[in-house]
Amino acid sequence: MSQRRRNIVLALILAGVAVAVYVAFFYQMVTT
Amino acid sequence: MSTVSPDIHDDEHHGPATLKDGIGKYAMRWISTTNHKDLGTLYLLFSGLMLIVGGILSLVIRAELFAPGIQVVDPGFFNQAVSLHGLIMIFGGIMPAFVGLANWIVPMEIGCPDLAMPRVNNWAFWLLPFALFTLIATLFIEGGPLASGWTMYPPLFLQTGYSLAFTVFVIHMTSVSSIAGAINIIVTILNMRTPGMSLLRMPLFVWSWLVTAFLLLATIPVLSASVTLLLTDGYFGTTFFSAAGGGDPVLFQHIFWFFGHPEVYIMILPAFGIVSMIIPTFARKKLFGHDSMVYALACIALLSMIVWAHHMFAVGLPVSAELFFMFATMLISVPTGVKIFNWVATMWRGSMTFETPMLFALGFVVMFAIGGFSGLMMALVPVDFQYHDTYFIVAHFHYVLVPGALFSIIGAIYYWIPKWSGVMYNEKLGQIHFWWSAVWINVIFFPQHFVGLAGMPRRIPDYALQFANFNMVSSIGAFMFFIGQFIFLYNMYQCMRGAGKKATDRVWEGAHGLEWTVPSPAPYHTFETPPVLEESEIV
Repeated sequence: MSQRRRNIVLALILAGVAVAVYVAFFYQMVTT
Repeated sequence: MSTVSPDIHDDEHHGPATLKDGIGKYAMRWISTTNHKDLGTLYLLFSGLMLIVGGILSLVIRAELFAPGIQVVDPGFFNQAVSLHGLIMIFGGIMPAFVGLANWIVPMEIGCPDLAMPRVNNWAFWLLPFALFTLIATLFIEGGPLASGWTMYPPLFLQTGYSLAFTVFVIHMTSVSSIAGAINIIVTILNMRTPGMSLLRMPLFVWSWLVTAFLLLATIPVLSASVTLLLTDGYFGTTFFSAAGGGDPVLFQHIFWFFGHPEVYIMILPAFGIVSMIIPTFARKKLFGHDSMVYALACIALLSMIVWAHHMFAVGLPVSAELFFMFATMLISVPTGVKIFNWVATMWRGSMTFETPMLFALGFVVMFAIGGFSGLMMALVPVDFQYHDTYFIVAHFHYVLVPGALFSIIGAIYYWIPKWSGVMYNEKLGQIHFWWSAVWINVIFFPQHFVGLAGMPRRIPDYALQFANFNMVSSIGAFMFFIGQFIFLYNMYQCMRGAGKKATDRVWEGAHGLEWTVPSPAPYHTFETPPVLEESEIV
């Protein structure tokens, strides 16, 4: 895998983590 | 193990535009730059501007508190000034300054040409001026800015008026900026280190930023989500935080401090990294216990996420919860102690000299420890009931953030500016600046311990007569400290325009690390070919 592709993959994973924290938190608040 | 491809950013092999190329081209260089050094400079200049704005607000606060009674501003504006001061200093001053230092230094310390995503880097920076200027602009809208403190507690924050929506929007913009910056830094550090630089060979400043970036990633989304809920409570009829509709205002405090306490470490871990770079240089010794410093950083970061409720002991938590948060908080002093003792052990029998960066680093160690000790005091639940919402708290966190975080930023700028500008700063002015700052910062904040212990509440524009003397002393200290910072601004301006003795490439006799192997000033593009990591450059 090229350097650029590895960077993009890791960045997308990390962005996914941030979005998941936001959504999970929001979901928890709305459903309790 | 990671490697650096020399062929990335091949669209950037041009020199930077200067004023000689015309004002338009020069402006576009700064607006559209994707260069980590340019963006580092922009971050630092922007944070400097915000520190001045936040500083002026603190002078308004201290002018009002110079004597008992209401004399300078009305009580409503006093609360707005306190709130804006907090938000501007945290989101516009301290955090961008550390990101600026990371931009400049992290790629040079790990031997890569730039951050992994330079365009994202540009975007993350330019969100900030829009965010912070929007926040400042709320001074001029009907009802004025928020008056609930930087913590934005409901129900007070929900009564703010138009600035509720503006403030929430500002928080969202700064959050996106922080998360984008954090992702960029993590990807750069994990994927783009020069061959031979294993994780445990990385300099402590890089490590501190890696840990900080993960903290940002884990907690900033929580802040964003919580202010979104405030927005829906304010405008869409929900009652997440309103007892009248079945909600709970204390819930917001839990959520806010789940972000807010790690935020404290977001503002101090990079400072630990800076001090861990400066002390070995001027002690002319390797950092004592490099690996234990790394583990201590990680340990502090993990603990920071399980101590949030120590900010709200006084709301009436169950005893079991208070005990858990009390002991967890006290536990943080162990890895923090490891760091303090390692810095002292690094200096032990070193060939020490006391140039300005070293003075600021030593000032950090001593005065951060004062803030740390008062923090340990208020970790004790019964004691915290006495201190809660008093000036003792104000004294504590200002010791951590001003002679702590801010001193480390100033020390870092003195340390690296010869590498950035190619000339040495004026050492004599630097020494005067340090001693001036070190004296007056204590004049401001040390007496606040006493008035706090005696019961003076924070965020109140008027106070009882018995607090008058210490408040007057504190206010005089604030004005004198602020004036002294112009010495620093003048010194840095002289460096930026290239006036001063030419700096050598190594700059400091005891400095080690890849950033010192490039010429001074550092070329616009560095390490386009991965450098060979010599044993002597491992710090």
